Amino acid sequence: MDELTQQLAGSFTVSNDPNSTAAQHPRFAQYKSRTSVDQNTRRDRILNHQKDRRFDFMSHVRNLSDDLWDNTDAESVGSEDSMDVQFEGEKPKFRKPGKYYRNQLMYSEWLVEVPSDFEQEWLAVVCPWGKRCLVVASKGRTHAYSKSGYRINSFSSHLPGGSFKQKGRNKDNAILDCLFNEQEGTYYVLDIMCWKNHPIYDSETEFRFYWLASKVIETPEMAQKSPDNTIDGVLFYHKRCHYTFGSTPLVVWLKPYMLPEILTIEINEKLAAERPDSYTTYAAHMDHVQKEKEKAALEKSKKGKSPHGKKKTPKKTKGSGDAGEGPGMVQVDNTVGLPDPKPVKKDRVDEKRIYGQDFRMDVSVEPHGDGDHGDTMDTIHENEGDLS
Amino acid sequence: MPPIAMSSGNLTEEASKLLDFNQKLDINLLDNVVTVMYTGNGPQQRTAQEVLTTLKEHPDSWTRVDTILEYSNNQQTKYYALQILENVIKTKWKVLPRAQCEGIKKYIVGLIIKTSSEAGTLEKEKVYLGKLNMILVQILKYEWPRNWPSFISDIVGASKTNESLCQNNLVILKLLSEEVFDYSSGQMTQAKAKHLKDSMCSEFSSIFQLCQFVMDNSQNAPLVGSTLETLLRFLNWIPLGYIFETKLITTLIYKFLNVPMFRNITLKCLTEIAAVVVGAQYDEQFVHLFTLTMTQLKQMLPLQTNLKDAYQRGTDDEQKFIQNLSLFICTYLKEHGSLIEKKSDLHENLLEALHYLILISEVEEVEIFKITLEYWNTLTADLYRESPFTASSSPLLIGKSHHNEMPPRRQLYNQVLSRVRRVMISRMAKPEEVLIVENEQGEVVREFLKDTDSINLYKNMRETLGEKWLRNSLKMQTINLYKNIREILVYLTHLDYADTESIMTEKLHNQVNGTEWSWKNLNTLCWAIGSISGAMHEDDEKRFLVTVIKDLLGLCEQKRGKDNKAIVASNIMYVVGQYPRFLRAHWKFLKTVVNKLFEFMHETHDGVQDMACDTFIKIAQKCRRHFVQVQVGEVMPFIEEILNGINTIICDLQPQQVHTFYEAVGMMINAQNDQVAQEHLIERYLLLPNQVWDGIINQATQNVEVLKDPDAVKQLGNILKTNVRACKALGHPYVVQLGRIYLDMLNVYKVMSENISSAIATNGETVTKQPLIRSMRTVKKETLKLISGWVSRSNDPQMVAENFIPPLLDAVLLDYQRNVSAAREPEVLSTMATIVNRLESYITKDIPQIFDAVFECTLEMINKDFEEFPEHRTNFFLLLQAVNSHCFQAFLSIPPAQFKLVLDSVIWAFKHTMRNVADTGLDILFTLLQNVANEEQAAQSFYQTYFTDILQHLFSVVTDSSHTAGLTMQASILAYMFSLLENGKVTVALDSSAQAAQNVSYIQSFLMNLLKAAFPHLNDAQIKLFIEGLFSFDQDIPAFKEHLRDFLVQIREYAGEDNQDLFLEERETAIKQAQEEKRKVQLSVPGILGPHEIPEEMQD
Repeated sequence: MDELTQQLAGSFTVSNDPNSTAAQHPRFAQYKSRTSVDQNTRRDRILNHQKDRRFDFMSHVRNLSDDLWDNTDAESVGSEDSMDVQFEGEKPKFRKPGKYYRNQLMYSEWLVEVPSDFEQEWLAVVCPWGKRCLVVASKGRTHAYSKSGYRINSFSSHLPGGSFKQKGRNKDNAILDCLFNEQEGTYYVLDIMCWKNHPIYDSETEFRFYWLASKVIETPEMAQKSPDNTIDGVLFYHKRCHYTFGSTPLVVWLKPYMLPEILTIEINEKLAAERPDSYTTYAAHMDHVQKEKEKAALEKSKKGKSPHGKKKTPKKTKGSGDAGEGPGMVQVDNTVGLPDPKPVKKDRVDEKRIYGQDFRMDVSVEPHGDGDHGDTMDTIHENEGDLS
Repeated sequence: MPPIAMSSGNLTEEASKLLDFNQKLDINLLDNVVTVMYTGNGPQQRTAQEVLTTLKEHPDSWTRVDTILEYSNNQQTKYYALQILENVIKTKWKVLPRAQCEGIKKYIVGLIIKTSSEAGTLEKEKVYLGKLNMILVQILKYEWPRNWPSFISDIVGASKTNESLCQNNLVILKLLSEEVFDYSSGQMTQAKAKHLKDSMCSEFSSIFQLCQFVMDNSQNAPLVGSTLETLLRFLNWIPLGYIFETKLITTLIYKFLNVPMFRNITLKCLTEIAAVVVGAQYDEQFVHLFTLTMTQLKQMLPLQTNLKDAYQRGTDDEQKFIQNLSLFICTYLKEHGSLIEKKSDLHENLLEALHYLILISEVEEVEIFKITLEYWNTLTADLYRESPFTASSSPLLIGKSHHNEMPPRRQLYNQVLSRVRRVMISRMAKPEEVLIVENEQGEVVREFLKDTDSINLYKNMRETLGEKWLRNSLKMQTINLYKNIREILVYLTHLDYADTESIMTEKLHNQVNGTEWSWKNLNTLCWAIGSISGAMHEDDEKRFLVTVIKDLLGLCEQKRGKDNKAIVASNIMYVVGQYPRFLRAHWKFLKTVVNKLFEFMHETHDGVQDMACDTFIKIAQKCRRHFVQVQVGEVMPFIEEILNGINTIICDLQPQQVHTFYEAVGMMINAQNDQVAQEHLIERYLLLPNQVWDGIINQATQNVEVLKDPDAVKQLGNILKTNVRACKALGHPYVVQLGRIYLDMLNVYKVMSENISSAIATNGETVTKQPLIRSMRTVKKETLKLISGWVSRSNDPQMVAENFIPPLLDAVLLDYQRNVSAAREPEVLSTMATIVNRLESYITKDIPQIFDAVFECTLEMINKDFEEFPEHRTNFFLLLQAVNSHCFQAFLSIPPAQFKLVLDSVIWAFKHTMRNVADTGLDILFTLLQNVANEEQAAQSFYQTYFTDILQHLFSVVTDSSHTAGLTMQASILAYMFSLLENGKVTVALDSSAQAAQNVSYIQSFLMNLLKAAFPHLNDAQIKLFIEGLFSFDQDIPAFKEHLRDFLVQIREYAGEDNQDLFLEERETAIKQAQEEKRKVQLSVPGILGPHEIPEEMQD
């Protein structure tokens, strides 16, 4: 029975993305899943080959803006390869985006193996809780799509091409990777893929983040300081990582309560309190996991396979638990390379919003105040619109 | 044919000549008009149709039939003439002068003889002749046997003159048999049908001789074919001696079964014989029938034939043969299988027949499959019930020893059963169907059809969906098929689970090794595996499942590509979800399954998220308790973990999937019996939707315009839907959440309603199709759905009535009354009905308020016709029904004028042709009458005002053929009313000029006048007898119904002076008898009859 449960928990998947964040963190999970290639190796392979990726981003951006998919390089529904297949050779195969707004975003894996260059080469983004979504502004309207391509929302925004009031609305566009907080009605911008018809999918993270920040400054209506939020977790981006589709080991994810365990960063009590109750017995749990591991190793050695890659701890990280409220509270030494998080907000409570007779609304982007500890909070928020 | 060159004006003018019966009939003109009718178009065709209809309805039109038939060259014109004739025979035969009747009869007979005497015309004029035959049969129904006693001998005699004439005569006999024995119900009075049946039986010997003569001697194939067809119709009613004491069976088998041309009809005849159930006296003949047929069959159809292929490649005739064969074997074995079982020398034959049946079970034609299923079901159920123990309780006990334990009958069938298992497993049907439908917001949503609710759904769908139903009924068929196969497979598993297990395991291996791998095969196999849940012992089931799941997991890992993996994954989850007993016994496994489902809720591959949510709710329902208990080795119940992570779990789901998820979690919380703990869980469970809700409400408090924002309205709709599902799962305890949002929700309702109303006022009704307005209506509808859903599940009617009802009535009722019709939600009415049904007397005091608000304004919407606002209509009457059943006192306290309105609307209801409305109407009336009878004082004034009125309206629907569906209920009410009268319950005089004691005779004469005025073509004796019968049968609803039905037959026919074949006398005797019976029963119960009614001799 135990073996059956183990088998069900481990290898039973449809997409077979290693270290998928949809499942439990492998280090905390009771049952291990087997992965063929370790996280660090995959990172190296992707970084080495990402320049060879051949994809017509210009035409892809047009598809997204125009909602036309007939002549496209995008994958037809559901035929994409699993990660296992991607890594069958030395050279990774890069996933193509889905048709009709499905699978358009880059997703993280759990941070399982801390890379040796973690301090120098990685940027951290603190994420408030929200639904991950693709935001496309074009032809005077802004649409938000869920992971499966379902249209969550339509509104007007001050993004290029995002409102009927804009002059260049028919030729401008913007494509963003956002987190949508339904309670607040806020969109937090995580990443940027296209701005005014200029795709930057094949640019490195550092550039994309710089671009995002500068565009936010260029559009002073856009950014606004956000109120206190619940932190959902921290994303770490490799500085040189291009924007790819689907999950990648070059973007990794941790829940706040995992920070002490994995990165030895201290957290404040409020965050620590969010740790699930089952972690109170963590020692016992680890004990159990250890036994499971031994058992698995024994089985594997029988089958003649090598165990997982060695796990590393970051060489130099330190945290300060007294960082105060808001998303800035996870403070990492600048040398560790924690960058500015870029949440952006669409605020429903904005007083400026007045509802017109035609029930339309606008989303404008406001200038941001300086966040605590230099964190920028860019928010898109809905605004009054008389847009007929 | 002359060219048609008439304008429609010209046509009208010309055609009017046709209607002038003083002129000679212009046959060319008529031909032209008929041609225009069939080939023309537009106004011309319409005019032609009008002319022909008028002509047909003219009382003298039948006098032209002979001319038309003689001189017209147009087949269609002739056909038209025959229609006129048929019509006159059906309705006016009794009023035609006898000479005319004789004339028509002779004319038709002559025409038939002329047309059928020659093989050439017989074939060429088949349709025309068919119509002539039908007319003759119509005439026979009046004339034979009284006015035409020699008919049978005439037709038999004439048959011997000429083969083609004989062929047609046999067709006439077949038609007559069908009319008398198969279709007489509702077409003839009961007495008449009986009389004709008796006549036919007594004269059957000459018919039988004719058939036998043809079968023995004729070389004419079409003639023999007709004879067999005719014989087939006779077999279900002729005296058994003709079948078993003649050489009929051997003739059929030896002479015709192996002739390709006759094999289908012969097999049908043999099946008809096999269906005869009679005492032991013909056992030998039945055995004979079986052995002879099997011998012939084996020569015609070698046992090793692959019938599945043969069917697929076969001609229509061959396919029919396979179907008929299945019918023969199934019918025979079902009725007489035990005869064969008893004789061991016949076992080989038996096994051969079963072998055929197994082969036929593999034929891919659902109708044939269903035939075999019925037999397999009977057989397996029988074997199981005979000794309901499971063979081979251990897989080690195979071989001789356990065969000896097996009951002998099971031994006989053992091999066969194993093969049947294999067929059932490989042909398992889909267990549930997903309907893709559009909801009121224009979103495409999924709805399940499951076998459990199939019957109600089936009924509802047929009534409400019409066209769409056709498509769905096919899906219903699959579900019923699943149910059938599952039942058989469960019996088979009980009979030998080890064999079931080994077949399933083997087939699963064939999936893994690829020999049988396909999506369809895998699905079928997993449905089969899921279908026998609970049929094995728990330990065996566990062992079996562990193997199955392991193999499937291996298969999933082995397959490449998301498509393949997704199919295997959903099958694993299907199987797992079918075995709740297994899940409940293995917590760690259950938890892992659920965590895996949460993982799948982020999977974007087509259908995986839906599958995950559907499985989750299925498991939640069956294992709910396990999620709220602290499991061994854990620190808190799993529900806590779910609630902690709920944000993350549902973040990639679409709204509908989120709703399903919430319902599932609600079911778990429902299992928490500790009230405090449960309330705490509910609070956390709905935290997320409540936050969004509060946000919108807070903004709306500052600025109500927020409630016009499409995004906000949509969100509100979704939150309410989540609440509806939560309430459905939680039941009464949902009250904590309802209390939290109740008043805000009602305020939102009012605002939405005002918005819609003003939008309609400004832009007209078309505005209701706009997305925003639709979303607003959704908010209203979901609010009502939530409230009525909760009230119907609540368990404290007083608390509900005191705390929740007053604000609801304030918010909803006035709004309903004030609104424009198009903005009134029919759900307001159904919500009120639900509340009345649940709260019963606790709501009685509020009924006047409810009625004041909804009654007149709704009635105003629906009293113009029978169609507009169908939902309001249905719900309105359901509300009336609820009040009538539970708050009848309220009716007594409303003003008389309003009560009259109520009664008028009940009468209005049962006059509807919409079946459900008419049924509700009759139901209300019946309950109302019964309730009234309990109120001594009110009753008499009610009777005085309404009794005769109600009777009159009831008779108007009884005699209306579009209301025949409600006949049983109509009969029950009428019978009830007559017994009220008869038993002296009506103590007030119904006739103001007479005494109460004369009520019965008053009603009788009232009905006499009423019916005479309505049906002047009936004679007094008929009507009188009918009215008497109404009283005699008032204690016996089925007889009362038949009595009404006979009357309905009579009102379609014009009766003349000669009413002998109305069998009035027989009817009178029957009525008297019924009266006597009734009296006897009454006498047997002391006190039932008043002292003045008791016969003298019993007085002391």
